[in-house]
Amino acid sequence: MTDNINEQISALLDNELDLTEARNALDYLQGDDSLRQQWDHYHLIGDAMRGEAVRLSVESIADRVRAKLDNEAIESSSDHQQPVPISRNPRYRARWLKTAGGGLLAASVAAITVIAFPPMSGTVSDVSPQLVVENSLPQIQAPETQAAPYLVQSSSRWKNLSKPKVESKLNRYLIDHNEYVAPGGIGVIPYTSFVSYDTDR
Amino acid sequence: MSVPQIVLSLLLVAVTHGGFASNGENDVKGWLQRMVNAVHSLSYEGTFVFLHNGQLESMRIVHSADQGGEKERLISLNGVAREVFRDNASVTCIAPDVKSVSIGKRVTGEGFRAVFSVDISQLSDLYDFHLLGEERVAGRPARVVAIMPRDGYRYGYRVYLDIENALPLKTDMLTVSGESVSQLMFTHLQVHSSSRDIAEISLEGKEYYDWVQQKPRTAVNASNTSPWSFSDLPKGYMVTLHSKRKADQHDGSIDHFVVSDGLASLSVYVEKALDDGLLGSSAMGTINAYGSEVNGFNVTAVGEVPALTVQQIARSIKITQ
Repeated sequence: MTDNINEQISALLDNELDLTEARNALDYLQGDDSLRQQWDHYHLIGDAMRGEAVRLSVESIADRVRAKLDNEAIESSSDHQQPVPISRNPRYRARWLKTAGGGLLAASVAAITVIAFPPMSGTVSDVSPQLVVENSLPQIQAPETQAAPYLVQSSSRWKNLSKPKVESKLNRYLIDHNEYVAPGGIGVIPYTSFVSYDTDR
Repeated sequence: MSVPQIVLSLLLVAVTHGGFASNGENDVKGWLQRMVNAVHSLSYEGTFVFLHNGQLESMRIVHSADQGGEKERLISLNGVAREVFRDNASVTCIAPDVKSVSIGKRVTGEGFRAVFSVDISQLSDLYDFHLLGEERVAGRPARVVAIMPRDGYRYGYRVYLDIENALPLKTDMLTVSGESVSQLMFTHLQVHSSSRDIAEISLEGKEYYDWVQQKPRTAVNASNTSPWSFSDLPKGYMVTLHSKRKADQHDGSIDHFVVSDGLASLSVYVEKALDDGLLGSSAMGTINAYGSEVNGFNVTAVGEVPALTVQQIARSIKITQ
């Protein structure tokens, strides 16, 4: 039985089922978590084989679709085509309808739907990926200007220090230490830190 | 097979294996040795950029070497025109911004040895050496050598060596996890076939400068005469030099310890805590510093090593008498 269902899911993915078989397969899919995972795996494999970008996620794609759909109001189908036969479970139909026409899912997810329902809504391009970005990601805001880094001319100074005496002592140590640094040894030229040190700013 | 024959065979096997195993290593060693020789024995001048902490500096170096020894002049091309002049006898550091000229005698003679030695066999517990491919820097073909630290107590390097003369055209200094600490790269380098005269430093308004003659120092060879000792140094680090000199600012003396792992080095200074000393961490450019007070003495560690290393080494010094 399980093998048979798996085969059907696989065939559904490949768009090899007739409408009745496809309906049955989708009913199974909706009611069975493990089948939905299987569906995801098939998709990942397919994406990878076609060399498409594969985004792995702990959350199953199908579950994300479900969650997404659950959050959406069920719209009247008046502004949509009627791609799914009338005999389908109305709840189920409404959900997938929204997917087809709403354009709120990632292109890859939408592609799943389109493959499963070839007559539903035309092509993938009906779904606008830009909308997806706007809806699913937090709004990107232009960062505000940070004045401090702009208003400093140079930063070659000892950090965390505000005591000139300590700074000058460290400088003396540094000059002295340079004499013992690998003398031109590893490509680091001695005294570069001293020469770059800037007291004024 | 007689016993001598067996021994001979074993020896042959050992020699052959040894030869194969160290082939790559010898290449790296050869390149690094050539580099050290080139830096000291060639006459060259060039301009390099130095990038650290997102700050870019440009400097000019003129190096001349002949039988009389080496002379070198390092000049900052941006910001304050600081300058360092070195020859066999002395080091002169000029800081026009603070009207200061500091002159110190070169450290030579018994008891003082160069920190750096290209002894890969001794360093292989601490670093991995790799010979990489070829690159092009300052318009010249270069061979790349990677020196990877085995722990976080030292930085690693990627050095781009001029194929013709092994001068380091570019040096990337990296943390153990591969993040860039600094990059030094020649944009122009000219190697001369003979030594050149390097102009003496001319200072306008010499009389307004504060001339500091650094105090002569003596090497302390017998470690048992020092009340200071280090415990719990990070792996591979050891005290390679201990010297004593009069303090600049007071009557006491300064103990100076050079601590090195053979490649990385830092200095630990110990002097009476009479005035302000560094307490805690500080950093400038690629240099890290850490200071603390121990039994009325300021202990300050300074060096081009990770912050963790200056901190641990400064903390590991103890007074034992």
